[in-house]
Formats: sequence, C-alpha cells, structure tokens
Amino acid sequence: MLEYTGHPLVDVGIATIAAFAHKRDPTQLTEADLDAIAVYMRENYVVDPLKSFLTVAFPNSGFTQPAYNKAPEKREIYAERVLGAYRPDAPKLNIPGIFTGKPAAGIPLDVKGKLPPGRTYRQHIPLITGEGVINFFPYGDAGLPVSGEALLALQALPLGCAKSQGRLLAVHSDDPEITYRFAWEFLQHNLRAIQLARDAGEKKLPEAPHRTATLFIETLIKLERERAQAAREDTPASVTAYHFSNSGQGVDLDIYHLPMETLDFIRTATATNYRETWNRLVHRGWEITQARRRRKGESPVTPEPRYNVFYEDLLRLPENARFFIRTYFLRIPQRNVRKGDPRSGYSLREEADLVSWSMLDLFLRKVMHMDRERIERIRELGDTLAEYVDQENDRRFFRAFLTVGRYEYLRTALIKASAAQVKQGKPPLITFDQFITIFEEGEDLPYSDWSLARDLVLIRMIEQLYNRGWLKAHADVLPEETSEPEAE
Amino acid sequence: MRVLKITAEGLITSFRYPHFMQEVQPTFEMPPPATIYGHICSVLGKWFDPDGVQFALHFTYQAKFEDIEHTHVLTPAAGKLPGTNLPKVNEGKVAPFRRGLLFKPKMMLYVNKPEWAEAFRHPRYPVALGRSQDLFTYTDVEIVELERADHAYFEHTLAPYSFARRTASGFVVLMPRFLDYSRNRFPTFGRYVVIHRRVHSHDFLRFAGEDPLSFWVDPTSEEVKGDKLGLAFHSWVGEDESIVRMA
Repeated sequence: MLEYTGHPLVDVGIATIAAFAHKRDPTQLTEADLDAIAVYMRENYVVDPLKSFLTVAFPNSGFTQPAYNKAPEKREIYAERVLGAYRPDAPKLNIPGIFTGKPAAGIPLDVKGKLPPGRTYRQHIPLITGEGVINFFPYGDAGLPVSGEALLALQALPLGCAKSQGRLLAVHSDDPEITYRFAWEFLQHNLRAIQLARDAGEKKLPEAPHRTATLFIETLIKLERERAQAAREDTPASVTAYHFSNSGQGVDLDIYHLPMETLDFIRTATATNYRETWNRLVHRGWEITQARRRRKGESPVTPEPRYNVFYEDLLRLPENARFFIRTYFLRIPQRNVRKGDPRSGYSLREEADLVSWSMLDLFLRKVMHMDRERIERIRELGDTLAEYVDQENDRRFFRAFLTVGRYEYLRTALIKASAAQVKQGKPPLITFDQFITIFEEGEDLPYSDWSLARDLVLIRMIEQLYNRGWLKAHADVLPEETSEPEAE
Repeated sequence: MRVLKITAEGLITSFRYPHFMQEVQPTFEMPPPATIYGHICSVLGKWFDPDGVQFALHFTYQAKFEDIEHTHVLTPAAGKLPGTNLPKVNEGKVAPFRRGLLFKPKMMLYVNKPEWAEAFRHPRYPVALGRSQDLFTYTDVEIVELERADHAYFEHTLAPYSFARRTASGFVVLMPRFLDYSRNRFPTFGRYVVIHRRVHSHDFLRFAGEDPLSFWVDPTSEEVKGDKLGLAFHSWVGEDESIVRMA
C-alpha cells in the first residue's frame, strides 16, 4: 500500500504508519491499517495533548487553529479532509503528487474549500511556505501537489518523532529498518505519554529528558543493541536526524548526519569485546549536576544529567577526529566549557586506566580509515618507547613526549633517546622508515599532522606503562592538568 | 573515454534542500545533479537533451557556515501600484532566512561531451553555481582521455547510491536529479552518497560471486598508493541506480 520515497519526513511518516500497524514492511499495509491510524489521528489530533503538540509541526492547520477552539466541528471537517484523501473513493487529480508519483488529492485541503485542490502548504507539510507564497515554486505556482497517501504519512510524522527541546526529532536512514525502529520507538513512547497526559488532564506532552543530540545517539545505541541481540545482519547505512520546528513563533531546523563509518564504529564498539571500555567512556561523558534543595526542610535532589558530551561529539565525526582522540582516548581536559561539562575534569593522571589502545585501534580503522600498516607501526613504536621508558626510567623523555609543542623538539627528543640506546649497543628506538610512516605520511585528513601521530603513539605508551605499573610508581610525571600544546 | 574536464572556483555557494523553504535553508554539501544540468545549460545558452550525457564531480569547499539572507516573500496581489494606474501583480515583504553556505568551493566537472570545450571557454551566460549571485570562474578547461583501471580512489564526490554498500563511508542524501522543463519543471529525485574523505577501491566491501570491479580514472590526477582518482558518472534521465520511488 505504501512505499518508502527517500524523502526523510515522508518516510518517517510512512514508518510511523507501519509501526502503528505492527508491520515492518510498508508495502504490506492494507487500507484497514491506514484507516486505523487515520481514526486515531482524527480522535486525538483535535484535542490536547496532541493539539498543542502539533503546533510545532502544523501551525494554523485545522488541528491547531485557535479560531476553531469554539467550533470543534470545523476541526472534524479538516481532519476528514487531510486524513481521508488516501481512500480509493476520494477524488484524485490528473497530476502526480510530488512525493509518491501517485495522483494528487482532488479536494481542497482546508475547511472552507477555498484552496486549490490537492495543494499543500506550511500547515500540511513542515517547513514549506504558507498559502499564496510564490517563492520556490515552478512558475510561481504556489503549494505542492501531494497524494492522499503522502499527506497521511506527513500527518502521522509527529507521532513518530521525539519531542525534544520544543521541537520534533525525526530520524531517517537509507536502511529502512533503522527508520522503522526509530519511528517505532518514538511512537510507543508518544502513545504512552499521550495516554498518561490525558488520564492526568495535562494539556502538554512531556519533553524528552535529554538534549537532542544525546537523545538521538542514546536511542540509536539502544536500538543497535536490540538489533544485535536479535542477530540481525548489519548493513552499511548512514543515519540523519532532523530536529525541526515549523512553529509560527520561529522556524528552526538542525540536521545531524551520522556517516556510515561512525555508525559502523558505534556498532562494533558497543559489541561485547569493547563494551566495558565503551560504557566507561559513556559514563564519564554525562553532565555533572549538583544536588539542589528545592524548599527548606526537603532533602537535596540531584537533577538528572541532560546531555552526554561523548555522545554529542560522536556527531562531529569524522571531521573532529583529532579533538575526539585527545579528549576521550587521551583524557585531555577541555577549558572554556560550561559549568557541568565533564570534559573540564578529564585527567590523564586520574584516568590512565581509561586509555585503551584497542578502542583507539578500532576508531582509527573504522572512523579514520587509517592504513593497517600505519596503525601497526604506531603500535610497535608505542611498545618500544614504553619499554624504553620503563627500563631506563627516562622520565624526562616521557615528559617531553607528552608535552612537546613543536615538531622539531619531538624529533630531537626521539633522536637523542635513540642515539643513547645505540651507544649502549642496543637497537635504535625508531627507524627511518618507521619515522616516515608514522610522522610524515598523511591520511588525507586536514587534521592529520605530527601531533596526531604523537598522540596515537602516546596512547599506546601510556596503556603499556600503566599495565607495567610504571605509571603508578611515577604518577607525578603526569601533569594534573595536561594543557593543549603550544601552536607551532 | 574522452571527456571534458572543467575546473571552476568561487567564493561562496549554496545548494538549497528543495523542500525546506521556510526561514531556514540548509545547503547540500555537493551540487545536486539538477544544479549541474542547469549550470551546463547556462554555458551552452540553451536546454540540451540530457539523454546519453553523463557527468562526474570532484567538489571541495573550505568551510560550511550560515548567514542571514533577506528573502522577498512574494504573494499575488490585485489593485494598482501606489500613485499610478499600473496594475499590481505581486506584493511581498522582506524576511530574514537562515541560509547554509559553502566557503571557497572548487569543482572539477567531468562531462562526456568534449565537443563542448569551446562553449566552456566562452560561456553564454555569467558563470554561477548555486544561487544566481554565487559567481564562479573557470580556471581550467581541458580534454582528458580517461582510463579504465582495476583500482581507484574516490574522494570529495557524489557517488551513486550503490556505492554506499561498497564504501561504507559517507552519508546518503536525496537530491533533485532533473527538472523537466517540458513538464512545468517537474522534478525527479535520486539517492546519492556524499563521499568527502578518500576511500580506496581495495577497501571496498566485496560480495561473493561478483565480477571484478573496474573504474574510470583520471590519469592526470594525483596518484595515491598506486591509485588514480576514480570517477562516478551520473545521468539525468533513464534508468539509474540512484532512482527512488519519488516522482
């Protein structure tokens, strides 16, 4: 009955209809399935809490028009028009709808019947222009012709979105399974919240407790975990979140792309072998909240954290990979962040146990697409240097490697230490080929530079020195707060 | 395959998502195929038959940001213009729209029409890409003989949707593929993969029983780990793996 179109808002609406009918494949939907969700919307869109919820999606529609507050019959008429145009017996135009190619609806989509038949505007489709506006349409022919099926999907869209920070969060993927599961998750949450609000006489639906980016990644991870447990096959896919408001008080739209490489990293990192490290990184990513006493005599209450910086920084990959590595894998604290941001308290001295080469190795392969040979060379150098520092107890070299701010100083420190080894009849710490591969070859990333390579070697060194117990014995060699190196 | 290779550079550009119109207009990170068609038409000074014409892209920019753009929001109007007997056709108001922009865009466009080289050297209309005010300069127009290779790398390009299953890199977008001017600018859409970072074909996912892959490469491009720049060609009409069920 319905097919995915590729358009994010229409597809999320289609997935919502499918989830409402408990059918993963929208082509399996029947007219009765469409009738069922249409009936639900007819009954619920015209009353609170959904009536107020819909103002961010369809301002001034028949569902939300304040002038209809005293004329509920008009809301019924509007609901019948926009939610019934898919029916086979409903009039159709001889022109294709823009999203599905099926014939556009053949009736005016307003209460008074004054609009051109089948034409949709901002009150029907979020983020397009209002009635009569001729900008952005071919030959100034205002409004989009839309089929009844696409119109029903667009009306169902808010039910398959999360309510977040006063806007709607719709999640779309080229993998229909992911689109479906997000719509299912948000729909189930909304159905429960609607019922609870109605039972309690509340006029509004509650907001999601977490900030949008956190909510998006948190939900994704939950769904991926369920998917892994169900032993469903992973296929490469990208996911895009649309956080939008079509409100008359102010339109807004943020788009978060989660590229295929980041999704692949998340899928693997949350799996068994890496889960413990992943969970600890996540745990240290939550906002730090302070206990507050609301009234005299009451015991203090610690509010729930609203965001997780680790989750939110995942959305800035791969562009932000260098920052990500320093912050989460090397535990370098961030200055000038807001109160409560846990990154200000990151500490290599306190959290050396969180430095994990295996997680970094995964990150380099999945997110940065780093050449395996280069990763292996970096690992080998990290091992060699860790052994050198441990055996020679060369605190000075370790400290220099950790804090050096200029490339030539790093080179000099390596050459000096290497020469000292050779003097003792031992092999050099680093060979010419190794040096070139690690520090001179780029990865076609603007953030790929010598200091990134240094950080990678350092992560392996620190992990090895921690395992050898050297770091515990020489904790003072790690600065309490490692600062960003001076720019060259 | 002999192709025309055009290098074009500009200061700013923007490729609006077609269905996000109101007050906030994010930009695609690559020019959609429909934009490339319009761009070539402006060079030639006429609509051309897209049947059989193919193109490939290498597109970079230095930064992505937002600016406020004043849009004259217009509606039809009746009556007379003030102080005249002239009929008023439209009226409107200026409204601030948040517009996504790309800074310092650079495009290498490959088209399988080497005979259009002179047209690109003497374009019929001002060279623009994206908005009409986003002027570009052609810094190079040449004819290149592409080669077939078993290996290639792809970067900063728009690839057909089928690449998503192979590259496991980038993200998928729905873009306008073609606007049919003979049918009131009726749009068709396609799904594409935006690939920014370099991915080598030897890292592509392979499937059991499939034939060895081969690619068109630009022999004049930089060689990286033994590979040349691969080109993913697109068409505007006809069967294409990017097609989705949208109109």
